[in-house]
Amino acid sequence: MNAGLRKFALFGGVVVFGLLVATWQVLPRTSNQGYQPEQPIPFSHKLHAGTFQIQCRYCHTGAYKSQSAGIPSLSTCMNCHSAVRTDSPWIQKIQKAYAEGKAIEWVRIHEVPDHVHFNHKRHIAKGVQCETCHGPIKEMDRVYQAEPLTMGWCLNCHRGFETPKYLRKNVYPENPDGDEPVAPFSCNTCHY
Amino acid sequence: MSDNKMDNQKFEKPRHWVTLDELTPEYWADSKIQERRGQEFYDKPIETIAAIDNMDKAGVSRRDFLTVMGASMAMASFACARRPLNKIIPYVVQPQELTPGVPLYYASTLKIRGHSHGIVVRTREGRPIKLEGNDLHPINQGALGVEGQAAILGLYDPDRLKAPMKGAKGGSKTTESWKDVDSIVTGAFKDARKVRIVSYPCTSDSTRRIMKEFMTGFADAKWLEVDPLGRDDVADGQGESYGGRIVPTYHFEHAEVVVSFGADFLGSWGNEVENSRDWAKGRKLFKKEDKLSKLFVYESNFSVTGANADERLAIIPGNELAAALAVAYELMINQKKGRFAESAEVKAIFTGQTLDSLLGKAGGLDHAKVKATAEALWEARGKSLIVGSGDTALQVVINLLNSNLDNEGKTVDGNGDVSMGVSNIRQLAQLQTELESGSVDVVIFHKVNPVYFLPNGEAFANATKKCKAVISINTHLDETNDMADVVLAESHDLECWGDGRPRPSIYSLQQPTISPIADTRSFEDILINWVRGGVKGSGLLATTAANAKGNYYDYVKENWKQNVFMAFGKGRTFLDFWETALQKGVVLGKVAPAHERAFKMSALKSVQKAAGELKSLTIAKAKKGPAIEGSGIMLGTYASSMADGQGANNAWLQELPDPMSTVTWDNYLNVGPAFAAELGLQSNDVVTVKTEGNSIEIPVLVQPGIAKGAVTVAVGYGRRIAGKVGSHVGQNAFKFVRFDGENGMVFGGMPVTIAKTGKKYELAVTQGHNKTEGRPIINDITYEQYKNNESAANHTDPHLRLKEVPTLWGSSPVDYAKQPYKWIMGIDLNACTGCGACVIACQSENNIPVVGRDRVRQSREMHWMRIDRYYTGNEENPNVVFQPMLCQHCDNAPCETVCPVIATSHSEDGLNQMTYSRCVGTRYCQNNCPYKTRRFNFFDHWKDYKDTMNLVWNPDVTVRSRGIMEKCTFCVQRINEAKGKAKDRNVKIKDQDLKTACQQTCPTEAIVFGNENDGDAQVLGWKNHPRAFRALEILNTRPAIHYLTKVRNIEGGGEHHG
Repeated sequence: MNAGLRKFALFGGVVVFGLLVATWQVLPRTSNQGYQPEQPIPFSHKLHAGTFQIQCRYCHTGAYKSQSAGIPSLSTCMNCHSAVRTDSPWIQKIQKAYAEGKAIEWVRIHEVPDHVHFNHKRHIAKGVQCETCHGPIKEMDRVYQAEPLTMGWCLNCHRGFETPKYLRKNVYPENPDGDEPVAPFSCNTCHY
Repeated sequence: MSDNKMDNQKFEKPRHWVTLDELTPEYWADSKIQERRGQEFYDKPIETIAAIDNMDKAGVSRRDFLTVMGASMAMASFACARRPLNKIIPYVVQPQELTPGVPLYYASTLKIRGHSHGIVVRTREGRPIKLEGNDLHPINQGALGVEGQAAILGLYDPDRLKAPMKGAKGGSKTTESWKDVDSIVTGAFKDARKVRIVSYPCTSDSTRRIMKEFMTGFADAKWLEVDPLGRDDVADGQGESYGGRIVPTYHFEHAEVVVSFGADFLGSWGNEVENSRDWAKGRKLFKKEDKLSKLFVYESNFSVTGANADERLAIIPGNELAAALAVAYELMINQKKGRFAESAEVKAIFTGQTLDSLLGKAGGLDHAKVKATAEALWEARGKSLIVGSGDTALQVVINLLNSNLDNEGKTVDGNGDVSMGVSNIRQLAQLQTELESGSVDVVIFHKVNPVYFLPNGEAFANATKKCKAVISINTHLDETNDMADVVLAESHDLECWGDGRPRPSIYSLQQPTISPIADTRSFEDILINWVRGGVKGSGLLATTAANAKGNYYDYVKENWKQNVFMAFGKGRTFLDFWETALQKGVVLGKVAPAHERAFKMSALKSVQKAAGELKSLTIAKAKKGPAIEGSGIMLGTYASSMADGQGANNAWLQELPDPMSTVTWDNYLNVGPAFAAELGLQSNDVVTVKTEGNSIEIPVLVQPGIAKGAVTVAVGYGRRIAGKVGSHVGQNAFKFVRFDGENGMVFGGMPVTIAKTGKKYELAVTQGHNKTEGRPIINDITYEQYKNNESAANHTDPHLRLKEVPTLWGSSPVDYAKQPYKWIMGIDLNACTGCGACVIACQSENNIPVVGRDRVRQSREMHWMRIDRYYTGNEENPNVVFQPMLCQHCDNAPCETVCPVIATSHSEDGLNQMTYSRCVGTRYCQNNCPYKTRRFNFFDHWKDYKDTMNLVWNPDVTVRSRGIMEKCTFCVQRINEAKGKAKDRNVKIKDQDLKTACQQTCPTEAIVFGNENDGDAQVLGWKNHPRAFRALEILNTRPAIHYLTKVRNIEGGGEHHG
């Protein structure tokens, strides 16, 4: 490779890098905000959590005791649906899968990268409402990602910039209007 | 700065050194070295890759190359801006005890060759991810050794047999169904009279019972329990000296003086975990009243035991007996000490022997040191302990000494079930004869690999051809089951039920923590299925097999009901008893008190004969062309982390640097510096090692501490059929082990001829990748110094400690004293034996990849924790200090100030945090780290973890990808987990509730981790101890790790008083 070519490659590298940075600013960050995929079964949170007022933890049992909230096992669905709405083809699909011992493969919506360790239990223990991160889930027929779930968004709450009032009250009952941090923000709180 | 040692006109040898060349002024004057000192790496790593080499020649520098690559990668990343579709697959029926994301722990038993270890298995979503020692198990006491920690990788080894196979002896094998192979096997057993079963020594009651019941079905069935590294010699010697072929229990914890004649009890001799923990109890110096035990080691190879010795004497391999006799002579003849001193039988041993001749035959031992050994032993009589490894005669002398010193019944405990788990390898010679005569109908090999480890393995392989049916039960294909007609795929210990009884009073249970990953069965389930298929069997085996669903779980449970429950379950229901036993992992009976056994003087007759046969060394040297050839050189063989070859396919074990040489992925010929010079050999020279029948080509490593006229080599390498990782790594040194039907297997003492081939082979050595250039990073003092002045360690080197320094920053941005937590660590160099269990524990906990031999050569190993070995003193037989080196979590961290993207920074609890997602891979931090503990991912190493290997990753730790830096995190995932648990209870983390992986597994409890702001923390006592120092404190990095100076139990050393 001659010197000219080398310089060209070098120059090209810089240009491409610049373009990338520019595009980065325009793209909606790394966020999947608004992502609303179709699920194998059109399960409605609006119906279950909204109309019927079923507690989130009835299905997402892990949220209170584990880092992951967990997707309910088919047996949880069958607690009701062995008897309720058995005429629906979707319920029959669930019943069939349950009988065959085959799990339903749901499409993941809320996801942080592998190098982030988010812990549901710790947030619930501090009184964070599910809706604060997951949006108006009780009104969603098909679930979508309501919040950006970016690091900046996380930190806005942790550092006290945009902490919801009700949460600030949990941490500083005597000073709910301040702007002190409400949660740790060392890198290794989440990254390890 | 102290590194001007090298710049001085007058050369001064560094007090501690890493490689021998550092002791010469030429090394430091070498302009290349001077030039290199300014560079990042001592050996420029990138240039050894041929492809990059070629590019360099084409005129592209590394920097340009990286730029171009960076540009193309940036373009490539455009293509995948959207996230891939991810699925969540929940359980159909979620197991009641399981919550995804919450680990479950199971107590179980892990069998490593003859030894059974009590373990606790951490599982996530039904998948074992980490093994730890069981605190309740008296042998492990919470610790686990190198092999135990690495066993989890064996579970997920993609080379494991996935289904049973059949084929021709020595030919190719095809996968079959269990039904088919079972019918072949039952056919073979039909009319079979003579059946032989070969396995490792068995420490399980249930297995022992099932074998007994299985063997009743045949007219002539015999079970051979063999282990090439088993302590046959000890058992034989005990039998001759006291009656009863047992391996006694040694109480290192009660011994004030320990003498070892070739027994590497901290490494490969017996259960090293138990030995280490017990021995280290006498090495803890914290309170005024604490006493330091003394260790004398007479050995041919430089082992970890020798490295931890206060006095180490290099001897000729095979002549351990001469050394033991010299000590006996000094003690009983010269000093006339002990109850047997005046006995005629003892005097008779030394007929025709003089002390001088014994000293000479042992390898020119220093009489003063032998005298000191004898005196120390006598002074500590009843509280001393002598162990050894060699032949029966040596063991008889050792027993004589122990009895003479009243140690018998005190530090040597003869309580043990005579039949329990004792290897008798000489039976293999008899088996070979039987096989050759063609009289054996069926032979079953369970895991053991005699075709590999017998020196005449080929003859043994040929003998198996004459057997009607050779059945092999194993987890992997190996040299022995290559000769089998059917190979039955066995489950891993973590997949099956079982039990263990390593001592008469310890009953441990083994429970599966994962269902078999492939179509495999446990050894006992295989037997049960055979009996179900029509093979005869009796008792409980027959009853279990008669039940269509009966399996080994039912068998173990029933056996426990009949035996253990009857003995210990008084007043409880069996269910309650069983569940408690499962939960705790062990049931402990009463330990019978040790009783003194009478030494049989008649045993000494064989010693007299053996003593008469001791030879002194005669080395002939002949010059042939440019190469020198030496003959009559004594070759000693020793065991490494490969053990008897079983560790070969475990990449973690292969990449674990040998504690002494720090070589990975190979074995090599250890030659002492003076002897190497005499033979004209240098490290990496390839030599031929020859005996009459055998020869191997092997690289040389110049290693201090090997006696002149002797060389040593590790066994366990050179496996022909082991798997993708282990096949053809190193050379098989078992060829040079003596084996016959009379003496069994005797390591060491094989006269060989060594000839230089002229070839070179670059060993993958890790130490020396980074050098301290004489800076004081480590410290050791003598016991005398310590007794005179507890803080003597502070005065050994003026550069070692930094008292007051001005700071650039005014005050620290975080006042750590006001934080709830400030994490610090203490490492006791006095207790650290250098075994490396912490390195593997860290690897397992923190998803550290394996990089392979070539990358290690380029100093790209990824271990977050390494054990640095420093020599000090006499360069032919130096003393050793081990220093576990990991990220020091400096309060003034040099890495943090140079990171251009703040990927590494300090947390408020004092951790030096590494944020992978921020790192862009400049490697400035690695360059600026004075401890060289940062590791860079040059490649996507995780891609090498294919197939089932993926399951080994700890889900709580990020799997790092290419281009980023990583290093020790103080197990931050454990800290966060412990914080969470503490927050649940609204308390602070209690001391010792949180342990790092290295601390948890350390057999000698040399590592303590804790909160500096917790007044009760054990680590505070270590930090404030007079022995405490911090590595390179002179740099004012303010590390969070406090090392405790090594104290050697020798006299003198006053010259360092400040």
